[in-house]
Amino acid sequence: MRNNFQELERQEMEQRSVPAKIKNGVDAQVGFFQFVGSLFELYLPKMVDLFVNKMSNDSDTAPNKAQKRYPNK
Amino acid sequence: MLKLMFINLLNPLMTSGVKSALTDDEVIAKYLETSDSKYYSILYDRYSTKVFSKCISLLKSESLAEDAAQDIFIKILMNLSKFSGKSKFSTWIYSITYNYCIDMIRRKKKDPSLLVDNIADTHDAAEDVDEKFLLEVNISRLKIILEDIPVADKSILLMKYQDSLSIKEIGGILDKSESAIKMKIKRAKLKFKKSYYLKFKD
Repeated sequence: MRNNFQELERQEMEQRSVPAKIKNGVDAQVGFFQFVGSLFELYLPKMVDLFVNKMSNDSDTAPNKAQKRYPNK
Repeated sequence: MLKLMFINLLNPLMTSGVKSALTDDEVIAKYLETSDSKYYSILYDRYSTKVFSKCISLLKSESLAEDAAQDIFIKILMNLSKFSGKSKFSTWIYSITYNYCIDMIRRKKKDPSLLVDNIADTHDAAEDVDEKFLLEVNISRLKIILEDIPVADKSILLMKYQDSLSIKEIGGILDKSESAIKMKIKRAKLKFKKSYYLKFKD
């Protein structure tokens, strides 16, 4: 059985309907976060691969200090 | 890519209004497992009216309550993985709601319409107000008195008598010891009674 506090809450909840814009706002934010999450999920591994490849290529092709100083060595 | 974007944006709209026989804990587990927004919509449908109603009651402004309710639900979603299941999900949601609203009021403390305290703060906590007195006040008077007392006292009375939270749970929400909560309730009841006599007893 409800006490008077709970009955007051029930009456207030009956009188008020939750505006649709709250749900729309939450949905838009959730959608945005999921979209950004999907972008990261899709592209982050590729970007990391690209970065790693680039770094390894750079270190393979770049002449080291000794080669720079004594090119005939 | 565009397809993925549209699916993500439309999915919540397509699944709104979904009813489920699953318990809150089961819905949360499913949501965390699948990230499917239909599970979040179930939780939203279950608690949005109550959260919104509490926000209006505490903030006394419908537009502020709309912003607060939206932020609270986003907060709930973002922290859903942190819900440990030690307390009931409803208690966890109320703790976020009360803390958010109290913080919002603190931030806007200079706005007199938010912190209405028409009764002088009392240091006389010796007098204990009978619970029966609070629970027998009729609803229209109860509403008037709850609007009259400070929001901190109102929220603690709502936690105890409306949400039926235990002293321990209230202590967890407000980050206070059980004895401090007991004292706060005692003072809130006293302010309630004083307000009642000021308004309705000549």
